[in-house]
Amino acid sequence: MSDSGTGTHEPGLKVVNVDASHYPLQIINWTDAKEVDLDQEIGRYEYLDDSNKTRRGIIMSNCKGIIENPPTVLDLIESIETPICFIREPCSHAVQLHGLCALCGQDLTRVHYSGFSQASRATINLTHDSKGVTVSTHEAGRIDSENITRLLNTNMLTMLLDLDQTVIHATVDTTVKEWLSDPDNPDYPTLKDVYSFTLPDHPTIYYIKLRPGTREFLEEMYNLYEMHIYTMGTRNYAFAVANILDPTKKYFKDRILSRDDSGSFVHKSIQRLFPVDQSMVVAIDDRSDVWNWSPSLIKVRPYNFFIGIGDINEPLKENSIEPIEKDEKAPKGPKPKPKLCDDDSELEYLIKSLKNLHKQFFDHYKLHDTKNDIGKLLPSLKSRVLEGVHLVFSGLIQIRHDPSTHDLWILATQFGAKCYKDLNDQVTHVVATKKGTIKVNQAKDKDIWIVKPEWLIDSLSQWEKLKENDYLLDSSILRLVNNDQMIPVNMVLVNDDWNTMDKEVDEALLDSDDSEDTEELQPTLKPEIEQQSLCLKIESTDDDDDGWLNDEIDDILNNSPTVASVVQDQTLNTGGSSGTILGKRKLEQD
Amino acid sequence: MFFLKELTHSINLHPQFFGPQIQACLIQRLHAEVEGTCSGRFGYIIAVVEVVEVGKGVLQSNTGFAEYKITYKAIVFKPFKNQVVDGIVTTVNKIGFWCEVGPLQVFVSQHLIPEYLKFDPNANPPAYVGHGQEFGDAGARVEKGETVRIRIVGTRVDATEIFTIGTLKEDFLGPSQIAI
Repeated sequence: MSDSGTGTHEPGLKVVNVDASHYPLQIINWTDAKEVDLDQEIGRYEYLDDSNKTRRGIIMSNCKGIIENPPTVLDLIESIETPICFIREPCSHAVQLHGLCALCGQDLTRVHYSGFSQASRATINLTHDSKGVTVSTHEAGRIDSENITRLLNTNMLTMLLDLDQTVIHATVDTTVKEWLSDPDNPDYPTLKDVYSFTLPDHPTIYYIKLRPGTREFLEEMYNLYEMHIYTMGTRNYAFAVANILDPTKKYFKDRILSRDDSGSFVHKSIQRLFPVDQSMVVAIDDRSDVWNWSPSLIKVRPYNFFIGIGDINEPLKENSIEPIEKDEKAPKGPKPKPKLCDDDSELEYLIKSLKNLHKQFFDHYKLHDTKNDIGKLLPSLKSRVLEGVHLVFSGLIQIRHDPSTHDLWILATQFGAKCYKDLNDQVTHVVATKKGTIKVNQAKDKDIWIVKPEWLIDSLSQWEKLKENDYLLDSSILRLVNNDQMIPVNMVLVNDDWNTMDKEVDEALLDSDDSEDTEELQPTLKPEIEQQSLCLKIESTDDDDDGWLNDEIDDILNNSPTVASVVQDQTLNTGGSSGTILGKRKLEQD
Repeated sequence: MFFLKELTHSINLHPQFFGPQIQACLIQRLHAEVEGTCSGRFGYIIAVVEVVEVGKGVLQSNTGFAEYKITYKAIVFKPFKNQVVDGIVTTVNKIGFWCEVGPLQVFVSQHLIPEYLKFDPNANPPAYVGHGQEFGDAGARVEKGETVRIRIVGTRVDATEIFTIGTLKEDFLGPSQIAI
């Protein structure tokens, strides 16, 4: 018996051959028919089996179509490499609509008894909608290469832009409405760029704040990049926001991919729109986990304008980059301070990096006449930023988590830094949130920069290794001692300085009552210090901290020769009695 | 193609409607439940034209509802292979375009669009634009909102949906100036 060969030389032209063990064979019979149906006998052959007996087999057609290059009777066919004949299919069914072939109109849902389903020949959806048109891999490749040619000719790359927390921040909090209707409110001026809309079938009003510089960003990028929106919001939401960002449909046209059409609530992928060739695509998002840390992704800092709201559309995530924030209590006074601030400048740096990427790509193309791959070019550009930096984290990653899976670790590694779990000879930077931890103390003796996490985060957004002196962790101690001056610290400390410093600290603390220093990251020294050597006071706000906190405390208690007293402050419950998050902050204020 | 077909529909009526207005209520419900739906067998039911007969209501002992069998005449629309229709374009993208023929959505793949119409993604809105000497300035365009004449190549019916494929690759087909 023969196999229906499934090998193809090209779509539309199917190869007919039989079981490999039957070669060499001789044709003894061939059909007169030119047009055949699926699984029809078209010929017979003779071959010698293992025991040298002559056996006969039947050649069956493996698809419906017209026979091409038929062999003649008594032909000898040596090996499976030579096809017995070809069958030209009338239609390759490469584009389908819900089981209907878009090329010949045939109904493909009827499954042949052999089990082969024609509908499986076109399974890729690469449009921005989910109307059900699917294409085959070959067709997708053809479409992608046409696209690439067009982009190369017009000197453009492609950009997949996320909406929530990348270029806008959305909220449904009704407090915004109150603020908007009250011109005397201190937050009123910052809210002037907030747009609102409602979705069909729902009464909730959405308030959108555009990230500073969004319109300039769109205007500048629109000439260099063909922009698509790729969001986790619903289709209605995506179109409503696109209407605000782009009322004349100049930037995005109809290239909007929402979660209703992308097929997944939790993952994004460049292959959803460009299944075969992703080399000219850049993705921009505030989260890398949903993109599976794709090399073509530029991760930007999440834009948080409405405090405490986060992303109303995105799935839950585990590790957050920003250091654990404390509740800020604004001083009570006759005029309450505005709670919303609008000083984000991430998009400015993003414009620069994207322009640079575009320039590098097309300079290479003009020079070598071959196109680069963004998936390789982008990582190489990134890795130059923090080249030579070896760093250790302190107070940022919970001990129970594997640090190498933390967002900040992965990002820093992408940008050329080397991250370690513990201090060793090669470490050049310690990125710490609080003083007094084991790693910070170890680093103090050596020639290592001890910087706040902001140094790393700002360097990552500006694509430039910033001056460590502006982000030193220890400058805050000095500020306490010398209230007027801010002396930049040279991190090479000699042991003698410790005692003098301790004395100065003790004096200053006994003098000042004010423990509030709102510009610091956190106030870690409280007036009630009693010992001669350096004491450690560690405060925590959330119960979440307990993971790493307890381990660090254990370390300190076991290793350090001095006694450390630990104070754990349980501050506000996160569940307030007033309804909304912004409303609760308002209450705290009043 | 449009047909006038006699169909039946059964309605379960809650006892709160058993009153003097019961006929009106039934006819109202018929209109609401049937118009705009699509069945694989008859196509899209566009409008109920007349109610032929409202049967006697049979009370169901378990629920208390009354079941009415209503025979009515309605205009139905069913697409057929090889039929030529006029449609309005709704979406244009690089693999083809979608157009609406009444309640029906027809997809025309790029492979079935003639060579002289090329996809222009930079146009606002995106369109298939005619290239060639005979077009000049007033080129034929297939863009959102335009009328286009297509031939239906194949149809497939699901339980409540009809999928249709069309073609432009024949004489006298393509964007037309006829207003629908």
